Amino acid sequence: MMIALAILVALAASVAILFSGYRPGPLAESILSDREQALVAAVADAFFPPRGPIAVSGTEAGLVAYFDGYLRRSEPLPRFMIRLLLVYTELSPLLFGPRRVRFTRLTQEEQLAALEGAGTSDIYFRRVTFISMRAVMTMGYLAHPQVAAAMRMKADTDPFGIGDRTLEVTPVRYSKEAP
Amino acid sequence: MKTILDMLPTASDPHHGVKEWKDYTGDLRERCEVLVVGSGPGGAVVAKELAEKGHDVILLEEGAPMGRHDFRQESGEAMQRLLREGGSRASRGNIVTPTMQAVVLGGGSVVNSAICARPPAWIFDKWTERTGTSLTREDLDPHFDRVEAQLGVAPTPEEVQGERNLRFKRGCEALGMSVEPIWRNVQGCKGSGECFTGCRNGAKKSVDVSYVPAAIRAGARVFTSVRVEEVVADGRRATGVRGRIVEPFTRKVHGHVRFDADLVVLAAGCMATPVLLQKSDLCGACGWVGRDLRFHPGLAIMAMFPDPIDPWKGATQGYHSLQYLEEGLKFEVLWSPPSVLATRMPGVGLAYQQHLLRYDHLAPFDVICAADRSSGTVRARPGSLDPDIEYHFDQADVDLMQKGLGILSDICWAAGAEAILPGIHGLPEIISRKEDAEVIRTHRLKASDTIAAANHAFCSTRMSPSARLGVVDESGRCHDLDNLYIADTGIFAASSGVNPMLLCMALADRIAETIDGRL
Repeated sequence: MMIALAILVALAASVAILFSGYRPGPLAESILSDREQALVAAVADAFFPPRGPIAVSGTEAGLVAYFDGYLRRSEPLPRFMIRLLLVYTELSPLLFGPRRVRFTRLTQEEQLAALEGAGTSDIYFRRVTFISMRAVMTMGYLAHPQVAAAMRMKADTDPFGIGDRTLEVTPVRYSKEAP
Repeated sequence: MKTILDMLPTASDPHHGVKEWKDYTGDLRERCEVLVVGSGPGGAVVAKELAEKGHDVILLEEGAPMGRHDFRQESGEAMQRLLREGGSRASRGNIVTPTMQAVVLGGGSVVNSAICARPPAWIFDKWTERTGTSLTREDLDPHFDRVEAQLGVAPTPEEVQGERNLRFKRGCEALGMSVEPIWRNVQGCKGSGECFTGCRNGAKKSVDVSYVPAAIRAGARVFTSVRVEEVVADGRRATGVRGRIVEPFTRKVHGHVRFDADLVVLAAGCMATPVLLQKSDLCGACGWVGRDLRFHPGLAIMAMFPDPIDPWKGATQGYHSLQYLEEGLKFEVLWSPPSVLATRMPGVGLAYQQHLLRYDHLAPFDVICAADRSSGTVRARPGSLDPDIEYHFDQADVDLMQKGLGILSDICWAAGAEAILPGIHGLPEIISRKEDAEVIRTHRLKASDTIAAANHAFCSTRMSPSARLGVVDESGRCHDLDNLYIADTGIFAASSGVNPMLLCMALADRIAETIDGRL
């Protein structure tokens, strides 16, 4: 009994240590905890580093706030799954490296290596988690006007200047059914 | 003084007359002759057709009526507002397959690429082989005609194709493959490429701006913000539904609803309808409710061109090739919000940013597979109306998909690509020479090497004249109940071969005709 209790206390202490030492996050009213904000910021700058070919980093593109909004709007189950994804991402270096510390304690080069490792892993689950994380990050990053401008990407509801003109259907040979 | 005309939808306000949660005070209790659950392509057709025949119709929808000014361009927010589970829904099984179902007045027609394609006659022979149906293309042709006329279906004009679509056409033609402009339910499309997040030009004739207003003009009542949780039955008769008033986006519950009807039509979609039947403990005798789920898995290759092609300009999906349809493969141009597609670009950090900077040179082309040997299940999650979806992507279909990827690669090179991004685990991230692309054909592809999306879903309440082999008969009526019908893609007996919306609507038109004859 005493041994079991001691193991439990030791486990609880380990978890507490593992999830301690985070500075307060930049967003005061955030649904993200300080730990989650720190992780999202680290992942954001690993995916989209400062001083890269696009002169806006992940955090400069406001990805922490974007992630916060995304999570806030999520339904309970997806929200839980996203939070699980964050926990997994933070702890995954303990299992897969490149150094056995949590993600936010890795150097930026190591964080990059950790993400690259996940994206190219032979373990399907790792690749799926990588894609899931990158999907949310990319949606937020491309929503930033400076990023869109750097990519020469322009949202235009009338890109060909059609206006109110009625278009003629091109007289090509086609059928509305399969052959 | 307000007249009845003031209550009807107009061109500038097609949703006029649609009720939503703000209009309700307390619980709702209504009665009608025909109750239709779900306002997507199937339900909207049934509601309009029966209302025009003089029946007292109520159409229910959980999602909100969304006008062109309600659509958000930012993909994350757009998906969370328009799609079930915020767009994060996926099946489990031997692969994780993202699958999207809409929750909005008009259902999937609001967020799809407006593709309208009639399945060829031999598709119905396959249906006969699987479940014994006797339905033929000829039987459905008058219904296709009616639906196409109502929606103004026409081929995509050349002026709005844009380079992304034109390069695909060029590639197919260079290979001697058939290629044709896609027929779509649009009017005045300007090629903004925003079908997926809702057409801000109002050009897409989704059913919320075509069939639903016509239903209201014919006297149908439309209640949105209504989440149906149970079909109520007494012996062999459905007597109505029970559910709750749910505020869109926040999902806040505002009260209870009870709708009584002489006849109920479920058109809640291939995922929601079987869940509703399971929760209501109905139609389970045959054992096919939620079983035999089928998808059209799709994979894309990105073609990188030497010159900028601005892929964000042009019709969402303007050309397709049906050359290999009988083998179970359909090739088409792909588009969705740029950020969603960018997710599958290779690299992290600086390398990823470099790829993003070359995005204006990229065009995604995709292949969808009939996947006749793959199937899955839809089950009600405990304590939830969201489905637990399981799907097994069979290796034989993966092999077929691999053949499709090989052809897709050929199309890219023939279109003038200088490199391709296969997006397949185990293959090079970028292939810069056509000869090197042979690896796409020779590599032993496994299901888990792919992240295949599957937004065409069907067969979860499949049709068969035999009560032993299907949930509904060929008129869409459930075998176990005399007055419960299903009118969504769940009733397909097998793959539609092509995009399923038009077939779903033609079947719904036929179901409405049958119901009218029986009432």
